[in-house]
Amino acid sequence: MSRVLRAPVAIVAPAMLAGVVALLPLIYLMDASLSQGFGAAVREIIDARTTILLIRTILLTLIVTTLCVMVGTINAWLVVRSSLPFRPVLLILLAMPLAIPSYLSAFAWVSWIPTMKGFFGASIVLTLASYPYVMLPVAAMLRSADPMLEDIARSLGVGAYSAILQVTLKQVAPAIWAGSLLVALYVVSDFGAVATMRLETFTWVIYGAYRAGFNPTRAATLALMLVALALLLILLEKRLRTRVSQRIGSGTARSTVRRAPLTVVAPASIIAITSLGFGIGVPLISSIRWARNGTATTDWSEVFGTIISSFWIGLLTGTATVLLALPVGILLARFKGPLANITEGSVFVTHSLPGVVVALSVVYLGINLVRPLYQQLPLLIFGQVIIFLPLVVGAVRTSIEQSRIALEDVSRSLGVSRMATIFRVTIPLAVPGIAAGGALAVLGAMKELPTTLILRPTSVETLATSIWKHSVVSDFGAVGPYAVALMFLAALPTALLSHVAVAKSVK
Amino acid sequence: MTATLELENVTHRFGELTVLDAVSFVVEPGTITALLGPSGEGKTTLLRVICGFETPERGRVVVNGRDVARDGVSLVAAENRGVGLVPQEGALFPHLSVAKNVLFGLKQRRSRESHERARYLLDLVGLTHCADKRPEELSGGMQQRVALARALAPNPSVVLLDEPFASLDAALRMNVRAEIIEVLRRSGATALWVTHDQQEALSCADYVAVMLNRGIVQTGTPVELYRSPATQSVAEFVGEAVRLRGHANGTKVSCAMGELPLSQNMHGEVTVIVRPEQIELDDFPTATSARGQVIASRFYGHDGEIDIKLSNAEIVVARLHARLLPKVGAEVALRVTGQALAFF
Repeated sequence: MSRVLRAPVAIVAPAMLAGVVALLPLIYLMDASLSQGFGAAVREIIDARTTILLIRTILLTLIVTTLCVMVGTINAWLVVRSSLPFRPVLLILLAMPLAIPSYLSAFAWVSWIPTMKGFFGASIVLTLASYPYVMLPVAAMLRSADPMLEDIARSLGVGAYSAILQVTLKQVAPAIWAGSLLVALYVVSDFGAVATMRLETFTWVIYGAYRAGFNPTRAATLALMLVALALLLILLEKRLRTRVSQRIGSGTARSTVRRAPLTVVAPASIIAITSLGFGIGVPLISSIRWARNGTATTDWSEVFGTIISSFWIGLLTGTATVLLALPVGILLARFKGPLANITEGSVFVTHSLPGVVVALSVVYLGINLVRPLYQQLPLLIFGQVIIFLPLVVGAVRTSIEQSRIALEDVSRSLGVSRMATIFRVTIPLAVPGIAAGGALAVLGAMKELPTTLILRPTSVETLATSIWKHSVVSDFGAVGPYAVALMFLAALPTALLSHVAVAKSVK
Repeated sequence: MTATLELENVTHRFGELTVLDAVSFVVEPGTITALLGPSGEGKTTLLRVICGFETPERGRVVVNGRDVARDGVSLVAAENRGVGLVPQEGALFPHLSVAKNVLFGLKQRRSRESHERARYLLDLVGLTHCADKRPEELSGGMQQRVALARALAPNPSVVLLDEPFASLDAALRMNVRAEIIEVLRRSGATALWVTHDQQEALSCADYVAVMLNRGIVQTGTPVELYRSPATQSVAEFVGEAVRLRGHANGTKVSCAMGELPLSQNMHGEVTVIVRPEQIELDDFPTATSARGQVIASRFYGHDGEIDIKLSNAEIVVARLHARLLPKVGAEVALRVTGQALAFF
């Protein structure tokens, strides 16, 4: 049934503003790329070094994404369908790598095995850091998938392994694709791990070009190429994604699942143990060891000051992002039409912007448009909001789409205006999604390295920049306290996030 | 007295598809009117038009003498129409307690008057003890009663009920239906009740509007509809019908069941319709009695039905008291009580 409704101005205006805000930096990036003429930009693109960079980045993305699909899917199956004890706790533990910034775990590995530097090390670290992006959506989908199908396959004479491969894997295919996209986007935009591993990919070279001599053409052109690559990934995922099959007929999916036997679980558990040990164990143990060794020289007041500023920046970013994402999410979920399409397109493009690119374009924007704000807190928050806006919009939109539209109709038939209905019905019902989105932004902001490095006020240090500052000079003792603090601070939103992501889908 | 709700030639399309075709009917104050039609007839769309969630392309919607929509223009927004809604499956707000659901549409929700109003309505639906419960703690039938209390709270001009019992199982449905009717009667509310269930419409409503082929074909009391349906399709939709070929001659029609009295004057070839409960076993058959062989028998408990193949091969259905059911294969003589219906 068609449902074309005019959206209230109070929703459209901020949503459109969000769309414009999201795209503004990109325009300045294009301007910077063409500042020395079209020819200079083209020369950067066809440069042989650029080609090698491109091949290396694509290869890294491909390998990490493949590994993440394997590790993430197996772990998801373990926490939803296996006979292992303490599965809810296991889920949260397995999601914890999200709380550990890639540069920190890369640093832990390198300090342990220095020869790991390079492509191999970057692949391992990025896989361990980003498999939860596959695991969480797949686990959520497995929860809501109809376990009857696997039973039916078994009753038709298909073995236990084959049933999982032929039936269950197909059921969760859309989640695997969605997760792969997140991983691929994470890999092309990651800065910390490749920089620590001394692997020249787009992000690190862009940062280098920016720092070296402020060569706007090279930095901005490479940044635009990276955006194009990320956009391509998004389009590829849209094309390849399979449709979700719905359960036909009435009757809800059975909630009790026959647990898989130990012979199937045991080999899979090795993957989970490895992810836990290498993904959380190595960085955590290293950080604690560093902290113990370095306690004598640690300036604790500086550490606490840094914790406070990280916390504030995270909270400000989270709040600002949620406030901006709310009208966009409501517009996309409830008032479909040309306005929604334009806004969606704009946010969609933002999704492809790596942190380095956003930081760079906000710098150009700051220099050109709002000079007094350059290297001030508002611009840092602005840059981070752009980075996390698409994720939060996605979370808000999904949770609004899941709530029944009939509830909003009832509210209006009870004499409550459209705007009041949004505040009294739509938003309260979307609270889990909004909280998850907010947690995502807070978590991201606390971990985010390149944006903070480039945009922060010179007097402000965050946990991320402190870890970076000390680790580039291999001052292990000094990194310790910051690393431990960041991991514990980030653990809370991560736990909330993984809980909401998987538990909510049971309904 | 003016009608509480009036629809005049309401026409609505989704793209090329006409979903409402010149729909007209009125709902008188204080009555319960059923909107009866098969599934997929646009009944829900009609409710959405009355509520103000869709604007009809043509026609007029009048609530309490005030035009709320006319010819593609919505004149009064949904929230200002005074039209209450009880949707399918109740749709209680899951984030609010039962009491807060009922309070939702009241203007000053903190005031004592509002709380008294909410308490009065919860009392009316017999759920005072559930005020602080969450919706998911209630049974389906209780949720429907809360949904009705919530709809009645702001004192709407008319309450619309959209297939309110579709999701309840059969045994529960009878009870909840009786309770809801009782509440509507006691509150004196005006109600428009959408259903595809003929029995529900005939047994509960003061008036029934029959919707077929995207338009209203007949409006009347349940007895009028059942006894004098305007068309053959109405006759067949509002109750079980036995169809026979016949020849009308004034107020009589001759068919395989013999010569039957008609309610109106007609001449020529017609389709004769009688209800299964009008057909009885003839214990004292004459030479002119209709005869046939029982080919199927269905036992329902309190009563039953038999299919009889008449001597001219036409098949009729008779509804009989359970203990009168003859065996399959038995030869029976039949007679018809009351008047038959005939349509060209």
